[in-house]
Formats: sequence, structure tokens, C-alpha cells
Amino acid sequence: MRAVYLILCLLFMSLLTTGQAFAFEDNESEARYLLSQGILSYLQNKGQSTPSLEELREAASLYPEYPRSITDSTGKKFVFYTPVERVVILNTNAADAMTIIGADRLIVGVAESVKEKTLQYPQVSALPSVGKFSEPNIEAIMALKPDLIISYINWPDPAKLEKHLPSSMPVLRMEFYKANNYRTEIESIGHLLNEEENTGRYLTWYDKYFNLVSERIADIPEDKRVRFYAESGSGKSFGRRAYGEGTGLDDLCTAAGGVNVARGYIKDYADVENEWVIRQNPEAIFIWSSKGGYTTDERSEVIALHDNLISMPGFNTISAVKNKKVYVLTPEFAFGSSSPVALIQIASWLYPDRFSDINTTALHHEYLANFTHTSKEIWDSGTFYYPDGKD
Amino acid sequence: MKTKSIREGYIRRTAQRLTFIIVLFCLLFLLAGIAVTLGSYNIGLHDVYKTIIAGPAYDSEFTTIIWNYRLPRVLMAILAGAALGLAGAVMQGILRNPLASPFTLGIASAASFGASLAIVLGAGFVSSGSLVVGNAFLFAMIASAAVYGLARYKGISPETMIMAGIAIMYLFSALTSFLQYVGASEDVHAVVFWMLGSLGSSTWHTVTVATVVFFVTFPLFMYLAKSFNTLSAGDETAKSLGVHVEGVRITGMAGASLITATVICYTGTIGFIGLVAPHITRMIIGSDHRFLLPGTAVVGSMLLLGADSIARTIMAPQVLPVGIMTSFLGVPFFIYLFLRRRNDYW
Amino acid sequence: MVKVNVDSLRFAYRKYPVLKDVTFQSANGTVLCLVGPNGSGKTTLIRCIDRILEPEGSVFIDGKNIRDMHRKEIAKIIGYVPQTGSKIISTTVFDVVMMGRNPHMGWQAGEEDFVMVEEAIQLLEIQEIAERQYNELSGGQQQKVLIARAVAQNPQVLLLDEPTNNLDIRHQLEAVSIIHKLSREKEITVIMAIHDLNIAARYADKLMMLKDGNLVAIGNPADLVTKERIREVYGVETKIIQDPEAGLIITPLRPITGV
Repeated sequence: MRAVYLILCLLFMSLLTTGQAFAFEDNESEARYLLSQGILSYLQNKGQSTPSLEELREAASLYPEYPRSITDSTGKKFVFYTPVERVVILNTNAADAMTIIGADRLIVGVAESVKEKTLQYPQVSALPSVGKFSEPNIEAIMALKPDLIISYINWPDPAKLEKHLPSSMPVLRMEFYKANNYRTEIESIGHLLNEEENTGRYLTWYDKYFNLVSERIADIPEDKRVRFYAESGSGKSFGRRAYGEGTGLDDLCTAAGGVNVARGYIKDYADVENEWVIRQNPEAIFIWSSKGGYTTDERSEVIALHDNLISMPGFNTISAVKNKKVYVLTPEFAFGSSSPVALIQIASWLYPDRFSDINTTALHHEYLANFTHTSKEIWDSGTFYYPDGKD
Repeated sequence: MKTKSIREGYIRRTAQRLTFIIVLFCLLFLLAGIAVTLGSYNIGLHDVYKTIIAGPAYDSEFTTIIWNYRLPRVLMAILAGAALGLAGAVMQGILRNPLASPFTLGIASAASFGASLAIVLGAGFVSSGSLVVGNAFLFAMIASAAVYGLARYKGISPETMIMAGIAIMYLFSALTSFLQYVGASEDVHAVVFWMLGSLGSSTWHTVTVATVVFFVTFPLFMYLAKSFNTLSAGDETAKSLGVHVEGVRITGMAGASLITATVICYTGTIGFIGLVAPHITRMIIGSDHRFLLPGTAVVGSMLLLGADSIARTIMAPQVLPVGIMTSFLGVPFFIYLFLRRRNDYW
Repeated sequence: MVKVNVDSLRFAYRKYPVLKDVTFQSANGTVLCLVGPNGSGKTTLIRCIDRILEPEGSVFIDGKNIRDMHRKEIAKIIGYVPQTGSKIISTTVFDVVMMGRNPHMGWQAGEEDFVMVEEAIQLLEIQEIAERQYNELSGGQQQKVLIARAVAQNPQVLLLDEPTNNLDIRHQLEAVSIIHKLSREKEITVIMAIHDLNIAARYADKLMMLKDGNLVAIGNPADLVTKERIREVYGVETKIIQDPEAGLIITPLRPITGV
């Protein structure tokens, strides 16, 4: 009995301490907690996360700014006793996040996919490559001596990344594109990298438009909301692939006040028959395009997605097609930091009357000017969505 | 046993085989009749047939769905199943190898590579759908020419053809993996999609092309059926019985490659049918190619049509990859026949 | 009358010569037995005569060079019984025998084809197994089926490669006497590779000995089979007895070492 009591006590205490780690009033109380925990574990010499004497010494001199902690989207917690100075990013969404919080100067290495985005990230894309987002080059990463690596939750497999890296090169796994935890991720990376001011400025802007949309559509009853169909835009070649709950496009369109016709049928994505789409008779259709964005030479493919869909036999009976409410969206517009602009755009497509006062092009320009390093010449040359009135 | 009754036995067996094929053909017709009534759009049985009988010009809300989507899909399932089964039966027969199929001979993996190449390097998946199809076809034909060339160099025996086929298959699989490795992630999705196979893109155009190729190759195979039979006794025996062995083998392989390439460039790689439909048929009606070939065509059609119909309806509105369903449907049946037959059917 | 005329036939697998200039004739309706040790080129010679292999030199049937004939024409004249052992994709015995009609029939079997097949089945007495699967049969039964197939082919020249290989002595005698009878009754010219010297000597009108791809001797069995020649060809000491009932009886005694 006594043993059981003891174990329960220990469990309770450990719950208390881990719980405590999440809620700090300010930097100082967090730093105090982290430093004391670090010193304690150093003295007891327990576990792998024990800091070295040098780390503690340096942290003490930086106190109360450091140590800082972060919990990534897999729930793993990291403590940094000294400021992060060298970051390797393994995908474009991390590049996006680092840019909007104003920490892109810390990046020292990028994945191949980032290097291709020369228009979107003029400086970052020039940095050395560390391989593919799903197959990073470990040697190239190690050679850059990063003190932080940012990757997706699911890619690459830990066996291809963490397994080969020393504990001094922690891997933070974040998505930086899914609407449901985007805000949290941005906030925590901003805190870790000591960019609270930029982060706060961005999140204020972000919240402004998300709140604006939810306020303006709040009074629309469920049965009056626009029913939409969303698909992956695989084109004519292999039938239709519908997006359901759990996909970024569904999140965004739902936040804009739409109701997915696939709701209740499809989780994530699934292949569907053309006749099902006709039968559902959606009032709006959103097509996801992997092409397009800042680049100028993929416009025809974006348009082809739109034109292929509306020319499918029998699709002319669908209200969305009849009323010209078929839209193509690109990830460089709809995902990540520009998602408030996309949200407003979608909302004004769905409910033109309620958003007629907002000029989305101007809003997009505002975003590009304030939060990106893109050159002004390319703002209007890309194809971010279609139809965009540029023809 | 009297010799008279031996002949009667032969005639009786022939009648049985013919009956099997005819009955199965009727069942296929019935299955097709059921398949056109299945779908996400609820159309009553009466309306379905009224729309079909009235023709594509009939003005009804169902006309588009029946005539543009369901009929092409059902017909394509029938044609693709027949074609893949037929190709497998011919390849197994002329190479005297139970594991020969469009897949084990590298033709399907070459088509996959051709399609992947077009998807990854091409201008894009959407606007260049015909590029994907054309490339798949081109590479399928390149693969069969390469298999033939390698075998020709070494002497065209079944063993060298199979070995050459396996080598080609691994080569193209490796090339496809390489493309997936270097390709952008969204293109890789399209590649994987292609490799799973689907009948979702069937149109009257694909049905027409498949029909034409089927009715060119099927009579050719039937004409060669007797030679295929003789080949089953070995190259030497076939030669001594007056068969131009190399000619028959090359013609058969070319025909089988053509029909495979035609189908899979539209449907993606639908596995399994080319391998198993011939075996199922052989276990039931024996290996006389004059019956085996039409029998396999019908069995292949039924397998693919059945699998696609279930794939469309079981989790509606989701459509499952048809390759998964063909395996679910075919493997248990195959194992049942395999266990039930005591003797060595091959 | 000369039926088969083989003229300076040579054949090499890759660069290894197997037949070195073999020339002989065989008369119409006679049985010619090929004997010789393993690797002497018997099987190769048989295959060359049917043009399954493409040799140098010529083979004439009734004075016509088979090189100038189509495969199908050759198949109408020459029947070939291979050694058993190779599997046939599951087929009934009846269908295997029916294959013999391949050079003659169209897409479907006609009345004549049925008659010939039934005759062949009767001749070889395989009615009982006619509906069974070929692959399930014993070696001896398979051998009979293959002979029946060649008979159904209705050839003028019948080539057999070790037709007694898998048979017990009773069936050996049966098979060879059927072949002998065929040659007599249907005037078929038989050329048969065979291991058993006793059977060869007894049934052959002519015996031909091969060693290392060379023709050593050809002639009447009684003249040809001598102790000296068998020693030369096989490297074996033998005892040869002339029996009024059994003909020549050749009994090997011991191998000669160093040959």
C-alpha cells in the first residue's frame, strides 16, 4: 500500500512539474524555472537533456533572457540555454514562418524545394542546399553546424534525420501551414528566436482578418451557408480526388463560411466519381493547384485546371459552374502566412455582399510589403488564384 | 474404353468448355447490366435502361451520367480486364511460365516509367494528359522491344525472355524510383496515383481505342491459338509439328505488349488480372488456347468489372483504388480453386 | 529405294563440334538404329535430320533437300518423338495426340484428324488413359503417348530419340515392336537413337554406330556387332552370343581401363 501511495505521489508531482512548464507569465519566470531545473539535473547528472557546465554558465550570464523553451507539434519539448544562431530549414513552410517573424537571417541551410523559390525568398533561396525535404543530406546539415533544424512532422522519417544527428542539433517538427495550429506554432517559434515583436505584429494582422471573417459570417445559419466542393486538381487524367475534413483547403473554406459537400463522407481526401459531384450540385468549387504562385510560367496550367473541370460532361448543370463560381487556389497564396488574404478572398467569393468593402488585391499587396522580401515588380505577375481578372 | 467414347469425351469436353464461356459471357452481360445501375447519382433501374435504350441524344437529366460516365467506365472495365487477362494468358503460354504476365516482363513497369517521366519532367499533369498516355505507350513498346532484343541476342528461349523481362522490369522500377526521388512532391503524388491504376478517366475515346486494339489482337491470338497449344509441349516438339516457333513467339509477344500498353496507358497499372485470370480459367477449362483465350478474356472482364463496381460502391462516395479490389476479389477465389484441384493443373 | 539421304552433315554447339561429317542413306520402310556411347551425337543427328537444329550439309527426303521446305511441309513428312521428361502444360492425352495433327488440320479437328488420332491411340493401346492428364502419367505411359502423337502425324519418316528410356523390359519390347510393325505395315522409314544394343541389334534392319560425332560403321547388325568394334566404340569387353530365338545377345563384361 505504501509503495502504491508513493508512486501515485510521484506521478502527481511529475504531472505538476510538466504542467508548470507550459504556463509562464513572463520570460523571467520561465528562465528562472528552466535554469533551476537545468542546474538540478546537472547536479544529479540525470538523463540526456542534462546541460553542460558551459551551457549553464552562458545561460546564467544571459539570464533573464535565457534559457527559453519550445514544444514542437509532436509534443516534444526543447530547452535552449543560449540564443539560437544557426537554423537549417527543410521545407518552404518553415522558410515562410522564419520570414514573417523576421528571423530569416538566422537561416544557414535550406532544402532543395526552398532553393527553387527564388522569387518568394530572394535571399534565403541562395543559401546552401541540405538535400530533399524528405531525404536530407546529413553531412551537408552537419557541416553547417546548426543549433536548430526545422522539419515537417511526418517528413523526413526520424531514421533519416534525428538518428544521425548529435543532441546539440535538435530537430523541431512543425507544420507551419495547417490553420488549426498555425497560430500556436508561429507564436512559439517567435518566442524561441526572441522575435516577439515581429511575431506579435504579424499575429495581430492575422487575427484581424480571421476575426473579421468569423464576425461577418457568424449570423449565417448553417442551412444558408454556401455548399462547396474542393478537390486536389489532378485534372482529367485520373478522375476526381475530393478534399474533406483535415485538409488545409477544407479548413480555409470552412473558416470562410462554406460547408463542404464531402463533410461526413470523406476524411482527408478520397477519389470520387464525377456523377457524385454532379449529384451534390455544389454552389462553389475550389480546385487546389500544385502549380502557379509567384512564378509566371505556370499560368496556363492553373487555367487548364479550371477549364478542364467546367468542360466535363454534365458539369454545366452544377450551380457553381452555371454561376461561374469555380476557383483555383495555389499554396503560395492560400497556405501559411498569406492565408488571411486567401481567407478574405474565399469569403468574398462565397459572400460577395458581405465583403464588398475589402479590396483583396490591395490586402495582398499590404501583406507582401509588410511581411515578405519579395520585389514589388513580381507582385502582380504571378498567378495566385484563378479567375483573377488578369486576362 | 472404346475409341468411339474417347471421341465423344472430347466432343463433350469441348461442349463443356464452350458452355462455360457462353454462360460466363451471359453473366458478364448481366454484371454489366447491374454495374451501370450503380453509382453516386441515384437513378432508378427503369430510368437507367430507358436512358440507355433511348441513346446518347435522348434529353434527360440522366443522359450525361449514364452515357458519359457509367457506360464508358463499365465498357472500359470489360475491355481492360479482357485485354490484361488475354495478354497474361498469351505470355504464360508462349513462354511456358506460370509467372509470366505484363508485370513480370517489365512492360507495365516501363509504362509506369513513361507516364512518370511525362508527369515529372513534362509541362504538367493536366494540360499534357495525352503526353502521359503517349509516353506510357512508347515506353511499354520500348520495353518489349528491349526484352525481344536481349532475348534475340541470347537465343529466343522462354528462359531468356523471362530473364530479359525481369531485368527490364527492375531497370524501369529503379528509374521510376529515381524519378520519385528527384521529382517535386506534388508530381510524385500524381505518379503514385498513376501507379495504383484507376478506371476513373474512361471516356468514349479510350473505349474506342481499346476496342480497336482488342479486335485487332484478339483474332490474331485466336488464329495462333493452335500454335500456342503446340508450344506448350516445348520448342523442339513445336518445331517438329510444323510451328514456326520464333515467329509465333514474336508475334504473340508483340500482340500482348500492344494490348497491354494500350490499356495501361489509359488506366494506369492495374495489377494482378494479367497474372491470375489465365490461371483461374486454366484451372476450370484446361489449357487448350482455343478456349483458354476467350475464357480468360471473359474471366478478366468479370474480375475487373466486379472489382471496380465494388470499389465504387462499398465506401461510396469514396472510390477505392481498383487494384486493391481486384486482389481482394481474385485472391480468395484463386486460392479456393488452387486448393480444390488435387492435381497439378499447370 | 533411298528415302533419307544424309550428306556430310556437320554441326557444332557454339564452337564445339558435335557432328563431324556424317553421311549415310536409309531405305524406304526400314528401321535404322543409331547406337553409340553418351555424347556421341545421336540426339543431335536426329534433331538435324528434322531441321530442329540447322546443320551444315544436307538432308534429302525422296531427293528433296529439307532446307528448301517449309516447316509445315517437313512436319507432314517427318515425325519426331523426343525424349520424355519435359513437362507439357496440363493437357489430356487425347489433346497431346491431337497435336500430331497440327501440320495437317485447320483451326479445328476434322473427321480425318479424329480417325488418325483414334487409330494412333488404338495402335499404342492407350485408350484407358486417353482422358487423363499427360503430366500425371508414368514415364512409360508418356513415352507411348508421344509415339502415338508421332503416329497421328502420319509421317513417312519417323525419328525417335531413346524411345525405350523410361520403360521396363516388357514395355521396351512392346514399344520397339510397335515401331517395327509400323515401319513394315505403313512403310515408314524409322531412324531411332537407342541405348540398348540387344534391342537395336534385334529390330534394326541397319545399325549405325557413332562415336565422338563420327560415323564409325553402318551395316547389318550381324556384320556390325563384333567384340572388337564394341571395344573400339564403347571401351567395354563383351561376350556376344548368337541365339536362334533371341538373335544377338551382347553381354558387357568389364570396362577397359585407359580408353
